[in-house]
Amino acid sequence: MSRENLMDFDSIYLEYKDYIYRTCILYLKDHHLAEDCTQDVFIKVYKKQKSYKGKSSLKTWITRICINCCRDMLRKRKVEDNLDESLPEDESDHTKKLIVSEAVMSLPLQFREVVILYYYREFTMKEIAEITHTKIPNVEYRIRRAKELLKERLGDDFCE
Amino acid sequence: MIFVSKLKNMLESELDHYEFNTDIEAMKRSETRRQRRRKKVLLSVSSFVFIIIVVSAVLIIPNSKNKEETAINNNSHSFFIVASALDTETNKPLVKLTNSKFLPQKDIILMQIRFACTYYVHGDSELEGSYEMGDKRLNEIFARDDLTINKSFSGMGNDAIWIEGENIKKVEYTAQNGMMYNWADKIQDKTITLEGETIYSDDKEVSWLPPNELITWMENENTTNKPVDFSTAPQDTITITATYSDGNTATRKLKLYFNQYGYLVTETEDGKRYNDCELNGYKKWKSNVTYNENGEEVAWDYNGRAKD
Repeated sequence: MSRENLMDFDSIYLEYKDYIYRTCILYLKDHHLAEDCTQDVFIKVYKKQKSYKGKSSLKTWITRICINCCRDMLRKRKVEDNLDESLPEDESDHTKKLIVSEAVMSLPLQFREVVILYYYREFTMKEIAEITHTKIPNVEYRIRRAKELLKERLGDDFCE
Repeated sequence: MIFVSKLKNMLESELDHYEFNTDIEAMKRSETRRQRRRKKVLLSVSSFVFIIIVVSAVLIIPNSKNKEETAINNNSHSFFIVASALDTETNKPLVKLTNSKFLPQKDIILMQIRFACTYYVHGDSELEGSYEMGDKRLNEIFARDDLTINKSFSGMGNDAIWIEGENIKKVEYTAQNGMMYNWADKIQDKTITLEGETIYSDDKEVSWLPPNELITWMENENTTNKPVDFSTAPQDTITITATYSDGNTATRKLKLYFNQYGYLVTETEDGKRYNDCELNGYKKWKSNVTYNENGEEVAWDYNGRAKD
């Protein structure tokens, strides 16, 4: 999307509202916080429209704003790791999904962050480095470490 | 068998029932009104994110007894490095530099830098969870050898350096060991220069990127059985040079390092040290902090400003 098209804020909102909301839920593990955070994200997007010059994709730009807002939200609310997200229960065919989702949400923040961005949102390592404001080797390390932790927590059912 | 590549599909299926809806027209109207108010303000800084300030300066106020720190320069120009304060209730940055009859008519540079260290503990249901640096329970946690402890460093959102003022026409930020990053142009370099209208804050931010060796140090040995030894953390120095409309310049140097309790400290050339600042309103900053044996702040000086 070109810089000129960015001015159509309503279209951007409609396209990314659920994308941002669900990313926030995974990051914050609380859908109420995710709602607040999503609101903050789009206020920032609305406010910072002029600063977007199209050097990165719109998706990358918005996701970086989202990650920063999530970090800020966690910091302000001092949210403890909470695994009590609303998930389907008592359905045998959802058992593996529950385990994977819980395993991802139980990861330390820096690893959960890269799992969300790399596997869920399919950003490249270069894009993740830009979004999280770190270096590519660090992103590689975090993804590698996240895989190890997921393997420990998911056991033999988890493999690459 | 569950494959890593299927994570996306599994997470999507779990989250696809979550939909976000809000009155965006009301949101836009509110933001538009707020932006209009801000444009009327001569010197105003507003931030949406989290950030803490490490650096503070003492302002010379005509009827104040506080000392003034001025830039090293060879002319009449000088600038202050001012900590952006946090509102204690909303925890949002709150620096009011406008409409203040006590504010000296000098250019001001704002700086926000902070890193957070969080420990994640597993292996005991009573203690499981995340703990911030300085948490009293960490003593008990590190005394145990049966727990798994991961550490995580994170920059506090935008580690940004802002500038305010009308007489400054150009500002150069130079990092000695790390890098500087210009968010607007997405340029990373040892020296970042802002000129003209790009100088002013709000969407035009320059961030400090720690030295690679510091990042590596942070990332190394993520699993730890003892508190991080911050005394071995790499350091950095930022040089800020402001050029004024008459061509003269003023320069300040800031040394950045972690103290023994893990707080990122900024030290000015005269040896004054400033770390995370608390507020009383938005008018006071802490300096020369004294710690007890647990790393808790027990005494400090306030470089207060008179009330507006």
